[in-house]
Amino acid sequence: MAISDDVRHVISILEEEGFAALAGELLTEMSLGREVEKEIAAVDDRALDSDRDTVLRRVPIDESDQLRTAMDFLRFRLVLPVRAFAEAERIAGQIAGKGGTRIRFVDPEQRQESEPLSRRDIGDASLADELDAFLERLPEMTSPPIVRDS
Amino acid sequence: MALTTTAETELRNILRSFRAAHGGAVAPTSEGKALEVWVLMKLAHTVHQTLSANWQVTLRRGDGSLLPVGSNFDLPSQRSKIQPSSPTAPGYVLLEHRRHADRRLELRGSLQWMGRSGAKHEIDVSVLPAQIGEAIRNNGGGYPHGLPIAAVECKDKGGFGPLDETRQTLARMYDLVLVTQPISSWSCRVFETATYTYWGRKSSRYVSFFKKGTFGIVRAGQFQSGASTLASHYSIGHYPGIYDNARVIRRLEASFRRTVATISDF
Repeated sequence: MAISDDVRHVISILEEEGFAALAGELLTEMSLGREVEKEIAAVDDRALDSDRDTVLRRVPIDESDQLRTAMDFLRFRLVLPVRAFAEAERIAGQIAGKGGTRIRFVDPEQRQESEPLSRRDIGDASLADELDAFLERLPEMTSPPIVRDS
Repeated sequence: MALTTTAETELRNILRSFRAAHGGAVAPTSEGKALEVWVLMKLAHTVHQTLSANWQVTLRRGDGSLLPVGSNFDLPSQRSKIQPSSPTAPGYVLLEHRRHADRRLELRGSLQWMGRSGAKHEIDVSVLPAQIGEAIRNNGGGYPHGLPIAAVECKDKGGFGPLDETRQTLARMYDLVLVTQPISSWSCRVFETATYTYWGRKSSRYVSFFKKGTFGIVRAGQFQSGASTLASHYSIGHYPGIYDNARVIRRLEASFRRTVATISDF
């Protein structure tokens, strides 16, 4: 499926800024298309709504909708996990009787710490909020490509 | 259409800041960890907030000691058995009934349980009796056997969770549940093999076992329609749109509170 120029641009920026795995995943998602659930005709008319027999299919994403879809993807993969992690640290602090508690992930055998999910203050999701606001605005920050006569 | 120069510059700047601050959140090896720890802490929090008259909730280190004030709370970065007792081993959340000393539960992340087949099953968030956790920890580490008190799978992907995802969870539960008891004279739900400590009572049928407890799959995305029929028959809760819909996590919390409040019936 053809990927729009603006989405290709976002993918290349992601790759150049050190988000190569995410760039690859976004490219795959956009290439495969949007996942939709399609109902298969029921053999048994008495089947309940919850018994609907369905298959999952991929359908092309309209070019005009691709940038918004890409922004939703980035929100799911970057913004929401960081917000969730920050809330987890604030809860840990409440339970421990403090303002916040740093949560780390360590290798269970070697005890080495993984790359931190956050280097900000404990429970701080402000950068995720900033990114979220920017992702909301980005689809409006496009312009027609400049075509130069040769 | 193309991104404007302003948009490109702003996107690059914010991505650089984001990578510097939250590099671990975008590393492929960390996928899903934020969701797991969030669910784990939300379950701890609901007991801490709502059942505090009867239950005390504390953060614990890998040797079972109380997490010292100002210390980091370490959780496993990958699937793992219960490690031998050590203050540097991954920690957990301890839920203790204030009057009944035998009602104590460990809430753990990425713990592997041993199935009847001998296969190990990682569960993103699970709850086991503290007596079992202590016996394992204090005897060189190992795997709990049996059906967890709570088991939650965390899927941070969008799209639809297919029917096969629910089948996998159910297959795991079937391999764990002790419909056939490890020792014929026992009647238990969970046990360990270092000291042969066992806990809980046997149920007569699979579905009866599964009805007691909190079992679920939380997803950032949705579920394929037919999956709910299978899930509800075996008491596996489906929790779609977990990040975006506050009612969904509240439903999981309510299920867990019911499980904790009725633990003496297990």
